Amino acid sequence: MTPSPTIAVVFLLRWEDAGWRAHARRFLASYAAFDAGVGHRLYIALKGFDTEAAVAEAAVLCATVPHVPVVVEEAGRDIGAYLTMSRRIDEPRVCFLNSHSQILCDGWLLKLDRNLDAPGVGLVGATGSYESLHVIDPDFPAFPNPHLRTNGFMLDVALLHAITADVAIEGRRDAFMFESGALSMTNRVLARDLRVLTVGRNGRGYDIDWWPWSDGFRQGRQTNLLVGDNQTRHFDALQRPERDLLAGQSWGVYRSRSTLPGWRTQKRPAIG
Amino acid sequence: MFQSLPGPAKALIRRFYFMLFRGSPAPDRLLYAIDEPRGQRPLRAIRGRCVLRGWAVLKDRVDPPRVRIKVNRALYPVRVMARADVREAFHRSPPYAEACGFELALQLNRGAHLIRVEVELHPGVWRALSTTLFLSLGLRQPLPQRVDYAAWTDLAAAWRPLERREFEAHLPLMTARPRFEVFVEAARGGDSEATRASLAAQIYPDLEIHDLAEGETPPPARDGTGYRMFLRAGDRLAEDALYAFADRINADPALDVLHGDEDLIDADGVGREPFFKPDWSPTYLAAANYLGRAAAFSNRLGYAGPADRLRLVRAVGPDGARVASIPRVLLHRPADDAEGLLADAGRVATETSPPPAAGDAQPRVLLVVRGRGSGRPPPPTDYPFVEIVHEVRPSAKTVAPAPPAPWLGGLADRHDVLVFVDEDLTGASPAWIEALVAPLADGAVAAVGPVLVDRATGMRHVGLTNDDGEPAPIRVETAGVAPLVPRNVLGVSRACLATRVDDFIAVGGFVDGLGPDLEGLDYCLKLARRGRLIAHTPGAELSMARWRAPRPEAVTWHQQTWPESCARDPYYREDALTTRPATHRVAMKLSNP
Repeated sequence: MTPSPTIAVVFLLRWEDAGWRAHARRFLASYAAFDAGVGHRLYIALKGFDTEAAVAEAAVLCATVPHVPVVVEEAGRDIGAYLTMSRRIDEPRVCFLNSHSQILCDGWLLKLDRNLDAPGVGLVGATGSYESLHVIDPDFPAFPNPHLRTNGFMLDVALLHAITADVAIEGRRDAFMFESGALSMTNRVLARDLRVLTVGRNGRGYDIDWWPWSDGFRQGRQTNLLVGDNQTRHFDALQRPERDLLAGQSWGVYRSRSTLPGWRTQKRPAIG
Repeated sequence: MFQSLPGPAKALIRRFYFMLFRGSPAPDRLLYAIDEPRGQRPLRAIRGRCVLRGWAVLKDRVDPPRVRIKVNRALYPVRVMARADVREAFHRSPPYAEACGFELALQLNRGAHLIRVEVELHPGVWRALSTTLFLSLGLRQPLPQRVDYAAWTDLAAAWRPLERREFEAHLPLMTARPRFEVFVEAARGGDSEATRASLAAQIYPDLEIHDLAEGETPPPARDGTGYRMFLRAGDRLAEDALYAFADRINADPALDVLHGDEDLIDADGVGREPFFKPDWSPTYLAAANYLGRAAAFSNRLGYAGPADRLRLVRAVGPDGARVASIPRVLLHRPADDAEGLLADAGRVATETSPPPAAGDAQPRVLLVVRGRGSGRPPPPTDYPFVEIVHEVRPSAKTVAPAPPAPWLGGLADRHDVLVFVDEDLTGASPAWIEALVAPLADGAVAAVGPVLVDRATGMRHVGLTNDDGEPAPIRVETAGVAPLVPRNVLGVSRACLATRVDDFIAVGGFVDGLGPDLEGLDYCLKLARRGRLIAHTPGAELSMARWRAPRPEAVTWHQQTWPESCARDPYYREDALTTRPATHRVAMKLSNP
């Protein structure tokens, strides 16, 4: 008898998103093209698919891969849907992928899973950034503000429940706060003395100090991305002046060989 | 200043501006937007570089119209972009083609520049979509500041222990553990112990070492798995070299060739004379073994060493998708191998160049000397099978296919190879023709150029490339082992070029009126489109009195004719000797098909 998988992969589709069909096609094509490398169950979270016709259309579109469709309510942004899904799955470990996700290599889930098994690791993801929204909203931490981007990440469900017990996502700002605010998902995991890694296509887990040197999000050719998204594709399409600008926003001086990795050991997020 | 004017004054200026520059409004059948620059400010101040971006569709056509951008009087082709958002936004059935976006990045010198975006409504009928006056405040964006190699290696030394910990932690997580066979060829005076010690210190442990006698050929691969490297006794592999290769293979197991940078190391262990290599460059490889010895080759290729490199060029193909360039110094050669490093960098003739054919096997050469009709003799040569004809260089600046040369019908039938040389070139060695035609012994190579030395500046030109959007010679600095900023080689100059007679006839010869560099580049790109290789050879060196830049009109003609070779192709290895890695896409455009 085949053991039931211990990993849930949750892919999110939003009915309100006019391009959801294209997003679904892109993700499913990449999901079919690249072997995950480890057993799992794919859930497709149908956010705001309120009518039977909408659900039926999604079922036809997604019929190319075995999956479990789950309808969730429209409210709560992406993070709210993730939290809802985490309460509806049986697997102890979950990988969330948003609508714009596109898998880029074989063994992508295995690489995430192996790094999550490494000593002291609590959270792994495909991309991270030091960017801060502090300049437009002072409630966000100032740069550098390392945070895992929520387009694709993986953690144990128990930890997710533990760090989100007091989280309520009502609007866009709440979602941004959960991603990159002072009480971000990243900082909540770090506060438990657990490591937060981005994982590259090469299977290497990068601690926060090494994120600017991972050849991933907004770095060079982004050749080491495990999972792409709309932001990484946008960066790929830009010309050099704009690439320089965005790379500067995300990494600043930490993308210089003159700055040795290790700054974070002197500066830990303060969470009571 | 414009913003501070009162409303009516601004309205008046806008009205005059649009009357002056915009002409009549676009017709109803045209839908378009200029995304960058946004707004309708008539004057924009920039610092050297600007990006124009937008999209355009015609209501009655699926295919998008052609777009061009006029900068002052010069026309520039745009880069066509996929715009799925535009197609989705209109929900048209059948949908508009996705490739309806356009983009162009421009480097503007100091001064005012009128930039007009134009769209082709009907064949040959162009309509302006937007006109903007750019006031450029600075010259071209400066190159990143570089530190000297000693400071750069000091930085690398500071990082090394930190990186080693990270790399070692990665080993148990690797999903692929490729096996490396390292062949160490004995060399006179080579310190094989140093090589073995460097192999023993590798972070990545899955390797086998095979000793070879000097000149011995490595045995064929047992199977298609694993990778092989070819070292010489005395080489020292950096401790992270095999790890760097294995790391890339984990990211992409389909990689066939991986290579890194090299330098020379003296007895005290101090590195100098780095050779920073470009990305995959088939033309460069056809001329010199630039991959060097800091390279690993998949056993799938059956690659047997540098002498086999033209087969490697054909096996890997033009796009380099299966080649990884690792921007780290991975191999230290002994200081007494400086000549070998120079040869691999293409600065001097290589030992592995095809040997000249003997006797009757040597091709019969027709030497075409171009000039002003003075009858000046060509550079002296001792090549035995050569006949000389003189051709008058046309003085007209009109760009047009060259008329059939009078020598083409008669003399060319009795010759295998045409060698074109401008009469003002002088040769350093009488063996220059022999060196020039030698690479043509390989049937895949269709055109060969020499090293051209500009006597006015001392610069050595080793082929032509795309220099930030404009074709230009690749200049090798006179000091150091190799260009610090190596570039892809697109072609060679017509000033001196060897080609086969049948290739010359097949592509219709040269185009006149572009100047020697662009005429040569146009010819090479025509050959490349037919699947032929171009090579420059360091074995032949000629010098010219003064290099002259091509006329702007010729550059514009070239950009419109070969947009794929002119799409902005920024200097590769911008990271070399800088502390900040490049952020841009390194996209080597058309080199060989």
